[in-house]
Amino acid sequence: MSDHILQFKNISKRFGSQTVLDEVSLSVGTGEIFSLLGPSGCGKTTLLRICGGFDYPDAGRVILDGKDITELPPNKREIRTVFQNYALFPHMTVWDNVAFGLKIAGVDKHTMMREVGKYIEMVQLSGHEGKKPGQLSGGQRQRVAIARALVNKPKILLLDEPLAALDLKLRQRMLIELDTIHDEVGITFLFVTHDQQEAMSISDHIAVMHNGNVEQIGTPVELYEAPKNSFIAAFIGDTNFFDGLVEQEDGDYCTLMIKDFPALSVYNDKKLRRGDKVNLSIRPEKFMISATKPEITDAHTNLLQGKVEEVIYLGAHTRYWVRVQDWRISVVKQHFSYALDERKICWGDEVWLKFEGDNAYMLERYTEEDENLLALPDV
Amino acid sequence: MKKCNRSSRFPMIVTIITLIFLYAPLVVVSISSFNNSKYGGAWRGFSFRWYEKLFTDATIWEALVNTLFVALIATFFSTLLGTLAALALYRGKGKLQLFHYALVYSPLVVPDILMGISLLLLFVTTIGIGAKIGLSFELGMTTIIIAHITFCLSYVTMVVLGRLQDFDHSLIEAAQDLGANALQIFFKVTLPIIAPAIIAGALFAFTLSIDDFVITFFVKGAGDTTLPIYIQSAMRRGTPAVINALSVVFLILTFILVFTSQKLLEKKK
Repeated sequence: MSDHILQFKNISKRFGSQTVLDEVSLSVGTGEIFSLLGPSGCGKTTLLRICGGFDYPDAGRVILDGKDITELPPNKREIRTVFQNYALFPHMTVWDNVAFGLKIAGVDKHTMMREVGKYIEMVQLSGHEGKKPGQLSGGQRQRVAIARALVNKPKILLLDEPLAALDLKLRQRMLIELDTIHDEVGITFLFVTHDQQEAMSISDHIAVMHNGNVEQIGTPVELYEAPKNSFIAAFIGDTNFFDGLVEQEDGDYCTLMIKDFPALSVYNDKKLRRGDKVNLSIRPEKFMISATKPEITDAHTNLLQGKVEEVIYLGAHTRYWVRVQDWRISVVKQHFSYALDERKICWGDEVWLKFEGDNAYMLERYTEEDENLLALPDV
Repeated sequence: MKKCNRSSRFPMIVTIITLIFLYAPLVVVSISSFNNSKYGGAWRGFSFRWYEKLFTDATIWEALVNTLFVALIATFFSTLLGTLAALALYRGKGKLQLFHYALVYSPLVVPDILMGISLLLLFVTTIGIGAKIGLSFELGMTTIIIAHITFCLSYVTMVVLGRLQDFDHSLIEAAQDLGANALQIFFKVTLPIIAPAIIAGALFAFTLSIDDFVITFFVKGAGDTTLPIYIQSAMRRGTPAVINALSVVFLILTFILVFTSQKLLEKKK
């Protein structure tokens, strides 16, 4: 298939007795930004290293553009890597670092001058050509690493946590720049990160990995709105989990019984039957919080009553923690407008939480340990 | 608060005592070199006599040439072999490498006199065997050079290995990633980065070789004289005054060398 530039087929890798990758298969589309996302130790970096040729899989094949490259050494692959620590050659200038790949390839001098100049300009380092990496800031080093990797026009650019060493503001800027560079060169990016926001904001597709397995592959929207299991729901963004039972099937919807809640009507995309156990996920922003009881017009709109335990004002939005019997629910309210004289919802207020049955999502249950690991801490 | 404000004189006093301790002998030697007395001791007036003698004495110059000859050859081979040994030790992490490491490391802690005796024994035995099968060689410059390579090697290895252990392995991966083969990686990445350590190791070896007395004393042939050997015999023969002059010349050369190398390092920064 030509629309998939890179394919991993049943890749397995063990280090000693530990299984790092367990029959991982995935396909990366030509020209897209594909992210491998997961907590540390999930196997994403190992998969990237196998792609770069720095590790070899115990089983499985790596297919690049239709060719099996599993056994090829790194210097024979049309793949370039931006290393986490950038791995710039400290004894060479910026220019020589960028030119390294072309020199090795034996490109003629004229082409080399043109190409190196072009990529240095692309990463906005004109004027810094004569500097050594030690004289550059973190962000500038990052750019050199990117230019150096792109100058050979690889089929795929691998990026191993490229922004991890930068501070927050710079990270956001580099993320936008990476996106711009990607648009400009049209090369496929395989991006490894543990930061779900990074992955969400830059990727066309994301593979979420956990314990050496791919849990779900999808677009950022799919992962956020339709997570496959509670691990994904907890790892991508924040969410509230509720355990319950299906009380009654009701066409496309079903009625759920959750302890202390009134009967809830929720969209039944999993086609669950009466008596099935469910794990319901409702994202904080899917709740409408109000001090007065809202009017209910739709049969699938649900209403809960509770008491505000905590209010955290965060500028663009406010996060509330609302107590409903034994449940502590995280709610986020966007400030479309914010009148200073408006009666605000405060600590201790009785409030109503409204949510649509279409916005709650029923999930496969993952282990509680994993959820606790990732869930937002209680304030 | 009071305690903090009190400026202690203790560090300054210690520093001054240390400096006196280090430099007093040198000052005495420098002054003595201008003393118009054959055996030192009482001041018999200012004179350049010993310097004149120093620059006209052929045996001193022969000893110096021998010393430099040995030092240069020993430095070259010990640097080459030491660097290769360091690379081997850096790459391999097996049991064999641990043994190799111990083997390379031990000459650093073995006393010189032991090194001298064992090398002498080795040479004598080899010469004995050689004589039986009709090959004749004897103690001389060659054995001195071999002995110097032997003890310099360990120092070079340790210095280069120290630098390699700080070496970021991802640089090698990066070079590989950019298409370089093993040879290209070595000459374009590894070698330039460890070059300062190789030069430092070579300087170390050169210095050690130049002033070695104990080992050279054991393995030298009858007529071979290096500078330390010459100085020792001159002291015995009772002409220390020339040695004082020689020491001062060496001192000045050393200061110039240290000064220039520091200037060079500053420039690089």
